[in-house]
Amino acid sequence: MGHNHSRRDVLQMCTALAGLTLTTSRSTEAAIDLTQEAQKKICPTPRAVVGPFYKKSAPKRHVLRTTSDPGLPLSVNGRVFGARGEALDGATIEVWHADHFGRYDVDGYQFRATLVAGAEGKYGFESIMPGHYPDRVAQHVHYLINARGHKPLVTQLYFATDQVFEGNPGKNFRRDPLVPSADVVRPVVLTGDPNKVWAAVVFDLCLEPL
Amino acid sequence: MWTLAIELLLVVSGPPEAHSLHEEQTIRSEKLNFVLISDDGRHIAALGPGGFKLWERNPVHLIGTFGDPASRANAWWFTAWAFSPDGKTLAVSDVEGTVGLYGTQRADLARRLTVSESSVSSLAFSPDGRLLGITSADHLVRIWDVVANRLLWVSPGAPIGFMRDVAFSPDGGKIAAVADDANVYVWDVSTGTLSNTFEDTLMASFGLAFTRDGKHLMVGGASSEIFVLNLSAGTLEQTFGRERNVVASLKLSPRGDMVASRYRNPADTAKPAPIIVWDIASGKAKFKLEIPNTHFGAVSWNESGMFVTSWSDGGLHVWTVPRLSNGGKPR
Repeated sequence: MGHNHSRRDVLQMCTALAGLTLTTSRSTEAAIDLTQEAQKKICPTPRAVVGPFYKKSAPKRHVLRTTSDPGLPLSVNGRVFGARGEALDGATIEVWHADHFGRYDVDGYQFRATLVAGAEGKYGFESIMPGHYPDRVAQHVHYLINARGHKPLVTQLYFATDQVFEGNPGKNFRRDPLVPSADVVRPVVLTGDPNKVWAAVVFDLCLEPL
Repeated sequence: MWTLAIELLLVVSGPPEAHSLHEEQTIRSEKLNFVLISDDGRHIAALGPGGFKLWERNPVHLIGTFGDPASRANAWWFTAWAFSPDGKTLAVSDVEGTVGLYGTQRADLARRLTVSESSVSSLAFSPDGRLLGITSADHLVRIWDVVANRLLWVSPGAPIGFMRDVAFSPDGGKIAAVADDANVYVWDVSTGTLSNTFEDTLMASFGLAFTRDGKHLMVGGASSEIFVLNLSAGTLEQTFGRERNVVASLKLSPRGDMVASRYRNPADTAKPAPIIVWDIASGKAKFKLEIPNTHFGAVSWNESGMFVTSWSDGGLHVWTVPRLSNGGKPR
């Protein structure tokens, strides 16, 4: 896909490729904008379970991967907002996920971080695509979000490219009984150049008021 | 069909201190999903594709089958189970939020409690067998009087966490639950008020046990450690038990001086993981019991010894450990 495609073209191709978009870095922003627009209407974000491997006090950082970590580099961006669409600057977002082989670090804080939403509620982190944890069907990233005046949100991010969805997350998301909705299965944009490819995903989060 | 056979084997454990597992009973069966044993060691219940089956253990005798084998019973339908302290009742919960109370004399359904609209996550009887503590996926805790057949109270549980185990204190005055939000919650049974919230543990606990005097609570889980919580001070008092596997459950010895931690391999639940018996006062490992090539089920421990259930493709197994003596005083 070239960078001169319209937004509509990008969206249609996202659908045709079952959530996977191949793009150059110049068109990444357009693709991300589109997925962001499409997701704004989903409020509150569907809840999922905390899971057994949450760990408190994860370090504040936005780069979770090191150069030696195996796995496809993953870039996740999004916004945190309330039910009226107001940006929740300062919300804390704890994320944690398994490594490329599906293992959680319980001794330390590998692939765990605490993020703080900035201006306009924006957050982002750099990591790797999680592996398949043995007791779970689908690849996922855990989220715990806290913002003043709002109920804590526990949810999980899934990837439309996951083979378990067979290219149709809308139809097949129930193959993992813990996936609450196809709305949390997000399109994946593969970007970069042939020598350095990474996956870009947009995941907006909407919290309910207390 | 399930067929029965009994085999007797001798097995030796590994370090920290070698200890004999005296006997293995094997009850051949179809594929199993879980096996539990009553505190008195008299009854065994096994969950398989066709529902639950209940046996008298010694001599092995199939009492009956229950559940809903025709349509719904499978690995995920039943969610939690517990024998009453006297072994006369088996409580089994399901994903629809009901709890069946089965008599162990004839495996008959005595009563079905409609508890929650959410899946039940853990169950525990009070020491006198009168109350049933129930946690569910709606993150609430309920106390049900099974004698009077009425709900006593519903209390908020973990605000964001799924509760995986629940236990009454030895005097029945407290009930505690561990949750995936990595906190430990304790309520007064008589009032339903939250008396303690422990936030010192960094990761979720999967098992818990009160000390015999009821003044401390031991919890263990994803971090592989065992934490001893002081209920009156509200503090973390002691940490012991680092292992490579996660703690799946804890069982207090009948004298109250030791605790048996059953472990689970987090990466592969089918791989064997040990049971380690810890001296509570010193926090030192006393015995390590390893059972090869089987899935661990449950541990019961009474004056006559420890009973461990497990299962494999060959059926269900009951391992008995002779009386473990520590020579120490109960806490």
